[in-house]
Amino acid sequence: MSASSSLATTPKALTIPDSRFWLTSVFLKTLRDYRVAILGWGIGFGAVVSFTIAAFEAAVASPGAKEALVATARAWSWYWEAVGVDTPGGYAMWKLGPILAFPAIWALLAGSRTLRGEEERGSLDVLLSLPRSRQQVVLAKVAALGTALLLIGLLVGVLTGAAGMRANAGFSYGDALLFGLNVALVSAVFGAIALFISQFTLERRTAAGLTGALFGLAILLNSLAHIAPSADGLGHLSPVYYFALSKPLIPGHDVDVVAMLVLAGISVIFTALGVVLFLRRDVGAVIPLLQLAPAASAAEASHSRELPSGDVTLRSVYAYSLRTLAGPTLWWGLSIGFFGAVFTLMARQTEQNLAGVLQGTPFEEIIKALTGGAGIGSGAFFLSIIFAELPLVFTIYALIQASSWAEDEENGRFELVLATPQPRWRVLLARYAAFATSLLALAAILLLAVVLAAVQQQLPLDGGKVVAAVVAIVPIALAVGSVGYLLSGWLRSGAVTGVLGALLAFSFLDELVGAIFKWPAWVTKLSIFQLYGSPFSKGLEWSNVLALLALTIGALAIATWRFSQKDIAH
Amino acid sequence: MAAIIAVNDLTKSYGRSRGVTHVTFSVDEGSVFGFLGPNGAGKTTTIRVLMGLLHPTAGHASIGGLDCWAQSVEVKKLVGYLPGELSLDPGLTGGQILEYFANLRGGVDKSYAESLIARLELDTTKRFREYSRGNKQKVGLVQAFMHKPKLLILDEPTSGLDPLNQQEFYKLAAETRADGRTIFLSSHILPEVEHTCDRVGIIREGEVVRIDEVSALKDLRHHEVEIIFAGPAPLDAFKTLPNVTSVAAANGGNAARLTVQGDLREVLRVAAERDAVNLTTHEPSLEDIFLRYYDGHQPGQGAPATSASKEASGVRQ
Repeated sequence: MSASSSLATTPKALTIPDSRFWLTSVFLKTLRDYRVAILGWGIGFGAVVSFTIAAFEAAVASPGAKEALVATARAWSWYWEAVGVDTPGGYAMWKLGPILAFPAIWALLAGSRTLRGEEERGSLDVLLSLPRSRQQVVLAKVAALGTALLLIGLLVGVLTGAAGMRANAGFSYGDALLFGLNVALVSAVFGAIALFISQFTLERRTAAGLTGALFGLAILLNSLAHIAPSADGLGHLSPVYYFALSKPLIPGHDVDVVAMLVLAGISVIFTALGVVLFLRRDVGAVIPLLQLAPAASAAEASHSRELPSGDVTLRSVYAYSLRTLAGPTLWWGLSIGFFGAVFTLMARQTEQNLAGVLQGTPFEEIIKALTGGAGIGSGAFFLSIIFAELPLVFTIYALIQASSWAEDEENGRFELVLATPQPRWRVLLARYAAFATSLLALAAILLLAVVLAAVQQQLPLDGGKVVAAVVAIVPIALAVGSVGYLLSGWLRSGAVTGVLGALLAFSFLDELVGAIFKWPAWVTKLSIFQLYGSPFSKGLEWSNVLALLALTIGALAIATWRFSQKDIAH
Repeated sequence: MAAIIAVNDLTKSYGRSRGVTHVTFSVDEGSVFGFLGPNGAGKTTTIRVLMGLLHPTAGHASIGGLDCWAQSVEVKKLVGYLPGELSLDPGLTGGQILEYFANLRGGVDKSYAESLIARLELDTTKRFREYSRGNKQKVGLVQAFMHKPKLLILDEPTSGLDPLNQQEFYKLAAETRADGRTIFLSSHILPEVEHTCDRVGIIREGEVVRIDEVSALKDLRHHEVEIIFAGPAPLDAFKTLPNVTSVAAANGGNAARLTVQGDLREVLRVAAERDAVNLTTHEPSLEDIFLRYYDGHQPGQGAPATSASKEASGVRQ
């Protein structure tokens, strides 16, 4: 039997996927791997921008609303430069602010995965065994990442353009596409930085974490540049600052070509550095920054056959889970604490600026109500606005931890743990308990940072309400984590991230524009962020806390039942 | 001897794709059982059902009289397990991994664990990500053996080990057996099974096609015989013999190539009567037997002698 006829008799061997075009080169295969992200981020983020543009009309519908909006935006210009907020494009830019650069989160994850992630999986070894140079392989992968970002930008631009046309927003499709390009460029910067940093780290997630911290710092530096003219120089260090200089969606403004070229230049430089370092090092190794581990001495070598003992972090699944969460808790804690401290330090100055603008307006009374009578000057108003955003940060942390639970199962990490006499329910609950402990640690770090900064600034804050503002975040993140564990019972990690991310995005959008669009009360109540309440005016709202705890316990109970019954993935 | 593993009419299906179907076998306490089969035959599925990682679609699996699913925690107190693919925290050292699993098992005899580490020449100070494939396998082996379990379930235990460490594993297996403990292992390495196991089960396309003593499998005397004659080979004279399963001409018609199952005496008698000048016979190795079962995969051929073999060897179904 000839080879061809033999194949003809074995249909399974002949099954050629329809997507074979996408498997003809490293570039196309990598681009294919990004297809879900391109569509998800492009359409999802484009929808957020489009919704916000569409919300403008409702936001300025009542008499005097436009003037009030302009006044508020000016007062909040530390958050994002308030330019043309009386236009749909300007309103969306100001309303979304730093969120406009959020596709950079995907870019930094993808950038860290491009080489280091593949090295961790061992798939790069196979790829480099092909008759292609390392340079060809890495350039194809980098080109695919760049193309993916451009496609995300294109989708964002198209959707934004459509929303602009519909709202008669005064910008063209071309302007919208330039906006999309600007989003792609700022994202490319962080993707390139992640690629560069990953040359120095053994693990992908370390590179992603460090780049994420730099992303947060870039947002903060941009804010600082708006608050204090003396800090303008610091703003120049932030890629987000250059991103914000282009305003194609605001009538009368245009893109800042130099700023876009700066973003493109930073991306090219970090990508080139990352590629050059990769070409000069061993696959699987790192570029050493410091010789952290001295060569093993003879005495150490004699211990190489011994079993270590006494490490408390290896005594149980809970202790081990805490050990694995120590790094992320430290980095997230430092970042959140840093932000909390900086914003607390800024509170008095910002409220003083605000007082001049709002003096004699109805907003004074509203602010008094929001701060439980404290009014402007105590820092409570400013902090209440900042704290309203913190549940989103904590829920992103919860989302990542829930996805890693699903990912560990897929990667076979439970195989040996479940081969020991541990009941499955105990393994799940121990892991969740470690996650809850980590959340409490984050909350404690945040509280400590805010309290120390408030004491330094001598802010007359109500201590009980500050504690309530921090504590109220925890049940929200616990609930999101438990729902993630619940979804992991049925879905793969990618789907868990997607579904939970979509739920959070809906909640966020609901919170952002639900009231403006006058969505029904039951729809706005669907947002989990609504349950954060108003701790600076009302303290801890126990009904919300209990509702969230009930959701957590319910979801966790189902997740535990499901985990005890399901086939463990392999 | 009592059976420590009892699998009865076990079926595990994954939606549309096959897992294992109506698998029945038992493993006696104190024996070494080899589970053979090509890739995707269902070895790992069966093992993961035994470990309580998969829920049987139908049928029943028990270890030490305990249900592998309903009483999995109790079952795991009896078992040491080495999965086919080790996935462990790459940031922990080998020693830390072993300590962690020792703790999850409620502690182990540290001196015994260290003796295993020494025998397999494992450097426990390296991080898991820095280990070669063979060294990762050693970590897996030590964690499976270190608590002296009553039963070891090992999925391709010598995969990645160098010949010296393979020999060390064979010694460990022999000591375990001598100690009255049981080993259930899957393998592709036939000499290893021949050397290590008392009994063998062959699984193909999710079904157990043969279970027998290693010696019995080899004693089936499925001989390949070539007889050279002074003149044209009298093929018809052999076709009627009861033990001859195939006859073919060879050597330009002067030779007969026979496949004979069982006794050779009739063949020898006929050959002597018909002027045979030379006779060669080839006794099959376990590998030949194994491959013969696999031949059933080849398109255009009939099914292997599964039913006949089952009857001949008394597969417990």
